[in-house]
Amino acid sequence: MTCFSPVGVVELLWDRGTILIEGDPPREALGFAVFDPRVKKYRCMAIHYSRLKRVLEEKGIPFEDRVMQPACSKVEAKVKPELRHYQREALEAWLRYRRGVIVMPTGAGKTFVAIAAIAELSTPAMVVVPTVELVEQWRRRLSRYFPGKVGAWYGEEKEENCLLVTTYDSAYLSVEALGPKYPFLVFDEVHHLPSESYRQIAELSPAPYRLGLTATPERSDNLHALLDELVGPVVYEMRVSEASGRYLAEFEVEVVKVRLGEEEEEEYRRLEKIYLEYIRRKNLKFKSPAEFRKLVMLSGRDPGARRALEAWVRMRSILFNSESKVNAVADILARHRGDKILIFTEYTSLARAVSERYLIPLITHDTSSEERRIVLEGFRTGVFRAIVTGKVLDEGIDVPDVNVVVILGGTSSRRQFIQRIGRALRLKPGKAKIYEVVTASTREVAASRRRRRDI
Amino acid sequence: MLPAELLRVSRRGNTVRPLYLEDVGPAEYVIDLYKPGLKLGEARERLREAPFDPKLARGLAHVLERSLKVEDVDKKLVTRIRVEVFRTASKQFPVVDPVDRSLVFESVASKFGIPPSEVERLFSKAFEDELEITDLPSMTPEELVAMYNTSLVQTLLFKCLELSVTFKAKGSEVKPAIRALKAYGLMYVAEDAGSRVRLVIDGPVSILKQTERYGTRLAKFIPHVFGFEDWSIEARVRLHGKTLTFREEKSTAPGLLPEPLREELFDSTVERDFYRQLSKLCRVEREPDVLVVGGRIYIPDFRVGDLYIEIAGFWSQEYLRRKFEKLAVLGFPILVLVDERLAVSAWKNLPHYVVAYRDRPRIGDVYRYIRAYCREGS
Repeated sequence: MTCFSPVGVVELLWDRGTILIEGDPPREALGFAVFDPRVKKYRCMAIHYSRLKRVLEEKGIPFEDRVMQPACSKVEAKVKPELRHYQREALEAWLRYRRGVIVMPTGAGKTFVAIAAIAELSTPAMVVVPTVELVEQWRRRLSRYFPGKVGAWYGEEKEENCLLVTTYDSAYLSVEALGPKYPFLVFDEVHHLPSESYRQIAELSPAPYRLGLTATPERSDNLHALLDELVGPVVYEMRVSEASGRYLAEFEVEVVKVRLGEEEEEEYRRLEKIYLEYIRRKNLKFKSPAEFRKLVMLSGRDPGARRALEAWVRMRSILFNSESKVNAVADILARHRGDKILIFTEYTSLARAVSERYLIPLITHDTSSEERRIVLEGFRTGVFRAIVTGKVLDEGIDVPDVNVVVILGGTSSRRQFIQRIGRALRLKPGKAKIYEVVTASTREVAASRRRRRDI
Repeated sequence: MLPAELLRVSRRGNTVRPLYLEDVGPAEYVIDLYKPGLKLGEARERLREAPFDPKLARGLAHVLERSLKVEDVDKKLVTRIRVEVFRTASKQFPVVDPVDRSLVFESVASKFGIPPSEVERLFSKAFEDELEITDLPSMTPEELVAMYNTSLVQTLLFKCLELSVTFKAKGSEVKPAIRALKAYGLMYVAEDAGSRVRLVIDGPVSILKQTERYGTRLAKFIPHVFGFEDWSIEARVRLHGKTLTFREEKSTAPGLLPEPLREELFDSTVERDFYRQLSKLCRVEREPDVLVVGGRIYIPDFRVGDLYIEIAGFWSQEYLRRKFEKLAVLGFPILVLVDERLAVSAWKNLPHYVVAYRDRPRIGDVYRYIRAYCREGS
C-alpha cells in the first residue's frame, strides 16, 4: 500500500454482504473497516455503509459509490393508506430519522404504518417476516397500494420486484445477493432479528432506511438491546393495556382443567420423580430459558442429566398431547356454534388428532401450500368455522373476526400468549373469549399463570 | 447431512470429533426396519425400540430415508378430498359425534364416486408418515455406514468458522473443487506446504466477524476433498458456546464418500484438439500440477516434461487479467498460446514463450518450443 493516497478517487464496491473500499479510507473509518489481505483492499460490514459515506463526505474525500443497485428507480403508491391518528403519530416519529422500531399491539395496524412509510419514501423496500403465511398477507396488502410491484422470495418461489416480501430464513441466505437492491428494510415481528443468525440480515444489508415492528420487543435472552444498532431505537410505543377496549376487543380468559388419563397420569408421575430427584440433588433452579440450557449442556456428559432431560421432554409431550385435551375440545366447539375459532397446540401430533377427530382444517409446517391457501382463504370468508394449528400461526395471519381462541398447550412465554390471543383481538364489537386447556395438578398450571401475568 | 440435533460428537479438551459409526450392526438393524408394505410412520415408530443410541438410530434413518422409495400419491386429489371433507363437516359444525363423522366421509365418497374407506385413506395421505414403503432400501449396510459418517462430518461443519485443508492431489481433481468453492461464494488463501498445498477457506464476512454463516457451504464443499490422493483438515467449529478444533486426515478417518468426479472435460474444443495432436508426438499430462502463485491456486493446462503449456482462449477481461497476473510471477518455464484476438501485446511482456494463434494453435508453429522437453518426456 502507498502511504500517500493519490488524489485518485476512492471507490465503494459491493461484495456479498460487505463493502470493499478501493483506495485508502480515512483514519476515522478504520474503527469499522479492516484491511483484507485476501483481496488487498479495505472491507467493512454492509451495515456501516451510511456511516462510511458520512465520514468520506465530512472529510471532503471524493468517492465513487457503486454499492446500491436499487431494484427500481421509484416506487409510487397508487393510493396512500389512511391512518388512524396514533398510526400517523408513529409514522411521523419514525420519519424523523428513517430508522427505528415501532411497538404496537397485535391488531393495531402496524402493517399500515409500514406501508405508509414505504409510500412516503417511494423507494424499493424489502419486508422480512417470520412465516410463509405472513409473506402471503403482506403481499396481498402491499399489492393493494402498489399493484404489480410486489414480489415474494421464499422456498421455491423467488420473484424479484420493486417491493419484496421474504422470510427471515430466506433473507439470511439471500442478503448477499439482494442486499444492495433494497434501500429500505422493514422487519415485521422484529424481536426475531437479534438472534445470532438473523442478526446478519441487518448487518449484511447496506439499507440506510430501516423500520422494525413488534408488539413485544423484549427477549428473555436480553438480546433486544442489539436492536438499537441493527434497526434503530424505539421511536413509538403503545402497549396492549392502552389499546384494549379502545382499539381492540375486550377479552376474557377461561381456564379449563382436564385430568390426565389413568395410564398417562401414572407415566407422568414416574417421569416427574426422575426429573425432580435430579434437579434437587444438583440444586438446580430454572428461572429463565438460559438457565434451562445448563441442563441441556450437562446432559452431554452426565447420564443422570440426560435421563432427567429425557423425562422432562416426555412429560411435556404427555401434557401437550393428552387424550383428555382432545376430548375437551368437543365441549368448547359445541358452546360456540356461531363463532370463529382458532385452536393452538404445542405439538403437531395433537393438532392432527384434533383435526382428525372433528374434521377441522389443520395448518402445520407440513401442510401443502395449496391446502394452506384454500384453508386460510376459506377461514377468512367463513366457509370454515375453526382451524387447528401448531406453532406456525403464532405470529401470522390476520383473521378479522376470530372471537374464540383455544390454547391446548404452550410454553410459559408471555410473547407467545399475547400473540396467540392477539389473533382474536381485532377491532370489533363484542368480547373475545380465550380458553386455556391445562392439565390439573401438573407443571402446566404454573406455566399458564406465568404467561398471563401483567396482561 | 443431518438435522443439527442428530449430531453425535466426542469432546476432549478443546478438540472435537464426530462419533463415527464403526460397526455395521446398527446399519443392518435400521435397514431391516424399512420393510416394503409398512408405513413410514410405523418404521419410525419401531426405530424407537432400537437397542442403541436413539440419536444414532434416527441419524441412520434420516440418511436412509433420503433414497427410500415410498408410494406415489396424487397430491392434488388428496388436497381436493381433504378440502371437501372439511367443507362438508363445516356445514354441520361442529362434528363431535363419531356417527356424524362417518356420515361426512360417506357424503364425500358419494360425491367422488369412491368408497368411504378410500376417502378416509386418502384423507390421511397428506402426511409423510402415512406413506407406504414400496421398495427395499437400495443400499448395503456398509454404504449406509459410509453415508452416515460423511453426513456426521458435514453436520459438524455446519458450525464451522474456518476450514483449512492440506492436500496432495492432481490438478484435474483440484480444479472442480476450486470451482465449487467459488460457486458457493467462499474465499480461500493458498500456500505451499512442502509437497502439499494448504488452503484456508472462509468467506467475505469472516475477516470482520467470526461467523457460522459459511458452515453449510463448507459442509457441501468438503466431499471434494475426500477424493484427493491425501488430505488433512482442521476446522474451527462453534459448539455449545465454545470454539473447538476438529482435525481429521485420510489415514485416520473412516471411509468417507467423495464428491463423484465427472468425466474429464476440456475447457474448450481448442484445448481438446491441441491435446490430441500433441499426444501423438509426446507424452502430455493434462492439468497435472497444483501451483501456488501469490496466494492463489494455479493449474496449468498441460505439461510436457518440465514445460507447462497454457492455452489462453477467449474469455472475459477479468478472467484474463487474473491469469495474466498469475503467469507473470510464475518461476517455471511455460509456453503460453494466446488467441490473437486478445491483446497480444500485453501478453508479449510475459517472461515466457508466447505464441499467438488464429482459430486454433497449430503444432507446427509451436513444436520448436516443445521439442527439447518432449524428448525427456516421451
